[in-house]
Amino acid sequence: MNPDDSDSLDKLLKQWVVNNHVDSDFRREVWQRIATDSRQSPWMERLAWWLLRPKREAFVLASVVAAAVLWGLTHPPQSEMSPHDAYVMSVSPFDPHHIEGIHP
Amino acid sequence: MTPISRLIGFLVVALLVGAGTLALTQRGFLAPEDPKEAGLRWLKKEYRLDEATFERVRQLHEEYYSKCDNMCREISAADRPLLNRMRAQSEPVTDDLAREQELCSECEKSTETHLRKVAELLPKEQQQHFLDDILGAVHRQRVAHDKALTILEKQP
Repeated sequence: MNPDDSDSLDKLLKQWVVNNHVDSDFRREVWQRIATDSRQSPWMERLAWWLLRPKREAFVLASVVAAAVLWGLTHPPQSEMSPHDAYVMSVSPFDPHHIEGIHP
Repeated sequence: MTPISRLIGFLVVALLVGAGTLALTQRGFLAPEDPKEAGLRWLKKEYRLDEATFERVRQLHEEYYSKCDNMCREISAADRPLLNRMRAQSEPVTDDLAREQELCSECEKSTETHLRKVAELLPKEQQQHFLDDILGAVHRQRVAHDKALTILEKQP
């Protein structure tokens, strides 16, 4: 490298001023992009962020248990046989399950 | 772990907790429906019985079930030791078999009488259908029952 070239480069570098000022429009644009991205995130992800908090999780589990108990108490288990077969079993002494089913 | 996979995991756990609670509630706290009640409810619905007729039908069935209880106790006393002895092949069972056949015939007669009384309370156009259906089933079961006893009797 020629020493003259080095001097001119030094001069040029000395003249360079770093502009660290960020334009307010630029900042607004960044925030707009962040807001737009969060609006466009999948609904499941947003639901997950909303739901997966200890208090909400506990509330959901308690609601599921309460609903299951309520449903279970208002819907007794159905017999495995049809109502017609239950009638035949209850009156027919020759039904294979008559004694066990009616007179356990 | 991503939020979505955590959400899916949580929903699976919630589903399992719900299913477990439902099963416990239904099996643990509630007795299965009484077949007599289920049968009577079927009869009322199938033959579209009004309340007054259904009450008479219920009354008939209660009398029959009471009689049936006694006969079943006799059969239990005779039949089960009989079958056990047959299986154990310990001694001849001819007399016991004869007694059992006698009890079975009494039961069948009593059932037929009961069903004919019930049929009389049903709408006329449905009486024969009821007898064909229920009495037919009883007769078929009697045949199967006798066949099973014959097979047992023939066993060495």
